Amino acid sequence: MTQTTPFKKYPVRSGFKGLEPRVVMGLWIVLLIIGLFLFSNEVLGAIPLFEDDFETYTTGEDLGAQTDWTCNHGAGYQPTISEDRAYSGIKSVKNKYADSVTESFCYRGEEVIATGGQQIWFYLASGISGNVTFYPHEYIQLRYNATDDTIEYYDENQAWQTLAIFDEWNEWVVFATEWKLVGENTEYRYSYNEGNWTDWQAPEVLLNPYRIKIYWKTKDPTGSIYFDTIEELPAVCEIGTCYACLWYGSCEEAGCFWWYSIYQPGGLWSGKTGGWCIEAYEPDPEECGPLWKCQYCMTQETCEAEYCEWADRYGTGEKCYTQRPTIPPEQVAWEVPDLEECGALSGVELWLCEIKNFGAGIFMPSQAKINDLYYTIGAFKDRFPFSYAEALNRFFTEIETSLDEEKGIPITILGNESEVSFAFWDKTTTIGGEEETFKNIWFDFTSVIVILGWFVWLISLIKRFFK
Amino acid sequence: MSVADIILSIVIWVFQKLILPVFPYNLPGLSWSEFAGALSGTLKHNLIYSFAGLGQLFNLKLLFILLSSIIVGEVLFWLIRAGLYIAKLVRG
Repeated sequence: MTQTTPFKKYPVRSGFKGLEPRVVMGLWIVLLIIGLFLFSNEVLGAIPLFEDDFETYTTGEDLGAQTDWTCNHGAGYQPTISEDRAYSGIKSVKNKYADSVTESFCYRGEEVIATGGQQIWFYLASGISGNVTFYPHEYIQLRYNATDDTIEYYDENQAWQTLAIFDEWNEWVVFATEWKLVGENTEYRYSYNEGNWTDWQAPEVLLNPYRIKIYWKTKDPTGSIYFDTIEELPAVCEIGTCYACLWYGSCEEAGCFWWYSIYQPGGLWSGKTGGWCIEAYEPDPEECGPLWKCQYCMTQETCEAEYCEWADRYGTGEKCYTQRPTIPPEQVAWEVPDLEECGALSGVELWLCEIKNFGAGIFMPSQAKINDLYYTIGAFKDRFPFSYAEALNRFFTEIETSLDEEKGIPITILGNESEVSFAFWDKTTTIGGEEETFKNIWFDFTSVIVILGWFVWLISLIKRFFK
Repeated sequence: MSVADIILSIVIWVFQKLILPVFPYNLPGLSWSEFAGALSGTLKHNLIYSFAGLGQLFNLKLLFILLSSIIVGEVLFWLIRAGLYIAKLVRG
């Protein structure tokens, strides 16, 4: 099952046409307030999208009688609102023995959030005999397993895995889950009692956790299981949940890595270069390159070598950014020759010298003008076609230089990796009384074939030209 | 200001105001940064890493130079042909 989020462009500006200026001003203020609210959400921490601590419900009533809740047992057999104990406030939900062999469950539906999580506080009395499961989705389940007193989670293969040993009897413990959208798939993970998160589970399906559901065995006596304070939380922008950082600054401040790519983090083609916040990433030096690869250059030296800009653009420290490079014109200053020194001369020679200097002075350009001319002509290097030709020339030069290097040819035979051995290259033989290596012979042979091929092309070109 | 300065001022003005603006920084659809970036980035690395192993077997440098000359030669050939064709059209 796939889900797409339809995006539609609305002509915002045209929507204001015909409105009173005061109304337009009011709309802008409202937008500003909403923007500030969203900003503070990300910067100041997650504000629950939904929270239910049962404080507004009537004590003693069935949970299923509350508007938002549905339970599988009938009236009188459902869990009830209790003031026996609570994690927050004075009320929580207490299980009721339902005299049934079937499991009991209650749930309430909530809005789908693509990235976020849910958590719930449980109080389990010692001696309970059945499992208690927190169940945001068929794939996302975290439970207390009564068989061996462990906390287990449902992994990406829909198999139960042990997360922790449970011995927190008669105290409040929290079950937490988180999920995120990666490409078109959902990944999720678990935490028990504020401990470490499990690895992300990636079953390669799109999930829409749409409700908060709690399962437990009915044969446990009334008052042996309580739950309280259920929250649905948006993901917080920090290391570990970098995907929740929505813009460059917050991503960098959280210590994450802002990743520019035409692909989304899950590998899905996005159709345009976009930015995503991913976990802290140490790029391989070979990934460093121009344009969008500037992000992988970790040092000023490698950055500037790839026509990128090493700068602190957003107050988050110096990093490598994409830049349209400018080729500075070559500024070769021409030294204006000095006029002839006439001081030591006298008589006619002095007159001639000064006349010559006068004539030369008329036609002698100033140093500033010569420099201006150089700058002006140099500016052509930055324009088409000279800049493109220069780039092409540099490309060919670099290729030509790099092709001098010889690299091994890797091969894999029956799973064993190796390289083609060219040891026989250095074997020698005698040709015309001269010792020659097989490599030289082979090179000369192939070079002759290549040159012959080139001559064939040259002849065909000449023939086509005069046709 | 010498006569040479005046002449140079005129030349510089002609270059800066009349000739230089005719030459664009970027071609429409293929900006310089994209062009240079593709060449010295992906294309260069792909070529080097793809063909470096063949350096054991062939004189790649020679091959590359001859291939480059073929590319340049063909481009020049077609430019000359195009120029001659336009000249023929103009002359009628």
